[in-house]
Amino acid sequence: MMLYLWLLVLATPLTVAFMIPFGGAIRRRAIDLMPFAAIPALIMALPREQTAIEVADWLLLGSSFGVDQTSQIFLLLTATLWTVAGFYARYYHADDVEIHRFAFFFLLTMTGNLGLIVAMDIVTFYASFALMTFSAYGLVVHTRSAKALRAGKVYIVMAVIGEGFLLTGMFMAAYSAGSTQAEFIREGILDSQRSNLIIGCLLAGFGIKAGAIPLHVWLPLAHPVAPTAASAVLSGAMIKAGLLGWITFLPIGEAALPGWGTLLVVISLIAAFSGVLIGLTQDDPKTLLAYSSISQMGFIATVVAVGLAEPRAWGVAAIGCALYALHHGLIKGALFLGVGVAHETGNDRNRQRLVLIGLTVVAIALAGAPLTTGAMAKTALKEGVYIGPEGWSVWLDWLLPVAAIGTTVLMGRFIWLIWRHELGHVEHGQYRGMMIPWIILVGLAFPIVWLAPVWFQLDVSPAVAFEPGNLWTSTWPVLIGGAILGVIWWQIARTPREITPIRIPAGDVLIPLEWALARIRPPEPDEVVPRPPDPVAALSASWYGLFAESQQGSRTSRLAGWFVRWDVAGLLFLTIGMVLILFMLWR
Amino acid sequence: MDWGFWLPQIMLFSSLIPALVIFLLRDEQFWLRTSLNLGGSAVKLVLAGIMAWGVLAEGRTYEASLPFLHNQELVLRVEPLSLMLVGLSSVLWFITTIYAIGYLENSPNRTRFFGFFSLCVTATIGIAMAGNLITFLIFYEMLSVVTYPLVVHRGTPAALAAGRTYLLYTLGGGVLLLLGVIWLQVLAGPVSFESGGAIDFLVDDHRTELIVIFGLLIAGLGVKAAIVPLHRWLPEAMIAPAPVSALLHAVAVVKAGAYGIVRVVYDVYGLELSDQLNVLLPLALFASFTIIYGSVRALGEFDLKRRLAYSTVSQVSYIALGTALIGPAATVGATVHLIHQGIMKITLFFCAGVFAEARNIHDIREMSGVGRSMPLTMSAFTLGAFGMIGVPPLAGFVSKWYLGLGSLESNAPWVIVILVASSVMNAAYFLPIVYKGWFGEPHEEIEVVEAERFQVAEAPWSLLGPALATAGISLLAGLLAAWAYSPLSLAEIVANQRMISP
Repeated sequence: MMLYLWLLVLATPLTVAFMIPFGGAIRRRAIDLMPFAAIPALIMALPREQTAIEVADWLLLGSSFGVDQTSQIFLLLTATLWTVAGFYARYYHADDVEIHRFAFFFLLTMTGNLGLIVAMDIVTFYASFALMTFSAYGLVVHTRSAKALRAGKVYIVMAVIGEGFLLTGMFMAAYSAGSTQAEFIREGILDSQRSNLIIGCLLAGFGIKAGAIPLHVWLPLAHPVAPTAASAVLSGAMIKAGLLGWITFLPIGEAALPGWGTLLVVISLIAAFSGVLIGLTQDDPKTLLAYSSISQMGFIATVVAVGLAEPRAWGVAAIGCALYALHHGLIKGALFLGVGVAHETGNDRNRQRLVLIGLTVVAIALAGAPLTTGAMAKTALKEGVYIGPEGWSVWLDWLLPVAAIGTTVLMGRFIWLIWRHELGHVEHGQYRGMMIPWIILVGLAFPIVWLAPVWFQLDVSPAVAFEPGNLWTSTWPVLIGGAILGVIWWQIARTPREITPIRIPAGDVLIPLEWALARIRPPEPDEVVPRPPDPVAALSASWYGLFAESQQGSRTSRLAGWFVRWDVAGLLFLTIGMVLILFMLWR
Repeated sequence: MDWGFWLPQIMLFSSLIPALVIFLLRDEQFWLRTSLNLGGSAVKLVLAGIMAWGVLAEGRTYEASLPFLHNQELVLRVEPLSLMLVGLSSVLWFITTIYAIGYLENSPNRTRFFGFFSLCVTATIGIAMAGNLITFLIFYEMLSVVTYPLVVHRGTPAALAAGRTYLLYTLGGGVLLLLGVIWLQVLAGPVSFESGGAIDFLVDDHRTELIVIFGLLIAGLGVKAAIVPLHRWLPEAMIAPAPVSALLHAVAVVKAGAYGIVRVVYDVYGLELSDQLNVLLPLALFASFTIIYGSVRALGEFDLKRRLAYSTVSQVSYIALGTALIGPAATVGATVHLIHQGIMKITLFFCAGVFAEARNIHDIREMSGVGRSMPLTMSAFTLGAFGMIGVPPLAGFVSKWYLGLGSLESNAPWVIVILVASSVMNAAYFLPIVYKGWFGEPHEEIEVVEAERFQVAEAPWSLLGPALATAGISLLAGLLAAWAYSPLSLAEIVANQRMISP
């Protein structure tokens, strides 16, 4: 029974997606149903108790479905965000003649994203992951602009590289485990004589999706260029698929892997800081948000690194990871959707005020100000860090707040960009349709994140965030960030000018790489290139030519004529064959 | 009546007799020829179904031996491994017949074409059911000959040139195989196919000779299986009409070579003996090189069918590679790929044929936006392409998965590098086609042509239906791989029969 419920979670968006190619009334109905396609998933995310794993022994190589405490939170996040984005997209694309294409890829991507969360074995996970990855291409290039196509190209190249890493890691892990079940995979990785290679492959393969540096280059190109509803799910939900992959299949919490932990913590901290710094130089608010996602994923990955290095910490750290993912997903989704709403306000002051207030609230939450979802999530994260390897907490204790200062400044820049440049170019004339889902998401984000630990009976209490010490740790980075913003504000007020002297193009390290590749690789030929002749064919042709020449061509045509009469030969062949067979039977 | 004796023979005659009658018909006798074709293939399909039931559900073996030469017998046997190729060719022949009828409507020399078409399948079925080496050899040589008129069917100078290349290579390969078989028979007497090998007793006295014979056999078979450097005929032969290419690349010629390698390694030498003789590593190396080489060449081709042909070169060697690895998972991967490669590649060739017929598209660069006017064909193509890349839940993933596990089982982890590199290169040459078809801007003039030729559907259903059917099978074979009657489950039975401890 439960099995069919899990299958229903996947079958619903899949069915709606495949209503679209039928066209006509069925297609219109499918587009109307798009926002509701994640509802079964949302319902399945709600029970307080997780049920046993269900096995479909006829599907793929034997699929199993279910959720554990961590993945249930991911399911909650993902289903919520896809639902809200679905309603939003319905209006964002109201006048889009290609809305059916968007809806098709949107629904397929949704199926993949939900599937990888409810999958409990690596093959089903990988199948869903691939479905999500390849379908999301259609979302990235939806506008068909040159920018979108370039982003799509970088996206798909990185995706294929990622699949290659995953496949390599999966082979070795599954062989060592002798099973595809997640729990056995984790043990299998530790037992394998190639465990380091496997961990490296899985870290890199999932890291591409999670935007881990230096595999992030596709992300600041692809996330912003997609239609806004797709950006929201890309940066809010799909980016978490990589994280969930790490959590589900890496043997975190089962053995101390200090080498990998150190590597990941370094990479993550670089991401946390560079994401902010490069984000600050962006003029496009959506690109800025994409860099912020890289930075925020760095925060979460820091805690994954803690778990890798110190298994004892993982029990608490895993909950921190999931809660932070929940917070970041909902908030980042709200930020992206808000950019689209800001465009729709027109000159209406009230609308503009509402959008700015809403965006400021979620921006402050992302910065981690007290009483926001960010404060709650950061407190949960820190719990893990404290139990981490010796010496780490000293560093992380001040590095993470410093990164939070950066986030505050980055969010200030974001609000500034919206306020000065983005308000009121009416693009779709769908203010109400887009504003309502957005404001619901803004309104829901806070209670969802605050109530999740209580509802799911996690080991973290929201009350911890109100302890004076924690209140202070979440307050001072925002205060300093605010002060920095104040100084900049004062500077600008005195001498009005643009505040970013440096511009780093989106994709950062990709740019020199692309340049170098363009030097090395010759352009694709547009004309048909003559092929070198096959030596054997050439030989036989010249041999054949000898005859043809001496016989003045008449021989050639007669020979060709003979070939055309092969049915005669065939008949002869068959008759002889039949006679032989009859002869044998008779004997 | 002993059905075990008669069924394999009826199976053979169900295409041999239609072939004979078709040769006597005139081109215009469409209905008679078509009903013969379809009737024959339907009978074959039903028989294959009955035998599949017998083999899988009741554990039966169907066997017919007929006296042949002095102390040699023609043996037709249906057990799990032969069932794989019997099933594949019966199903795909039925589908391809429908496709070919639609494809060649109103073209000249249909009688000749369909006559040899049926002969070609007869030979393939014979190869599949061959229970000993001599039976295999006879049908194998027969296949070489009866396929030639299909390759040169168009009769153009290019087709004739390709036909010559084809004959040179396959007949050359045939001679090598013949030499190998004769030599082996001189040493061992009649060699029948037995799971686990039939010639262990020779190893003490004839070690070197066995190695040389192995080389001869594999070289002879490797021509048809298009193992580099014996592959050149295959990309040339794509000049043949689409249904022929489809059959050639999926079931008949190429598959016959691969199937022969599987038989020689598992059922003539046996894995244990092959391992003792150290002949598997060279085979694995040749196969690996072919996989990479085929993919690299495919990247450089812009003619759709040529790219598909090089992709076949690459993909068929998966079978040889899996065969060369010792361990049950590798055996499963190799044998299941016999079926999976067939259904996926035939889908791609069907689609290439539809593009060529309906839009006169032969070059990848002409495919821009074709998905808008031909969504069903492009969907089938996309499924085939993703299957080839090895993306789950399509059939190609299942093959790749077992080959990957098998490489670790047999302690050859370097094979994983080959598999993953091949996947990435498959993506590099298939995804641009998929991209162009779905996301490219359509050419204006193509739209006009379409409006003139086909008022309603994107292509005749006789062409579209087969492509969709095989695409569907490729999807189901992967999606339901764990089901008891899937190709994978059959391959697992085959592997269990041939299991040795690594």
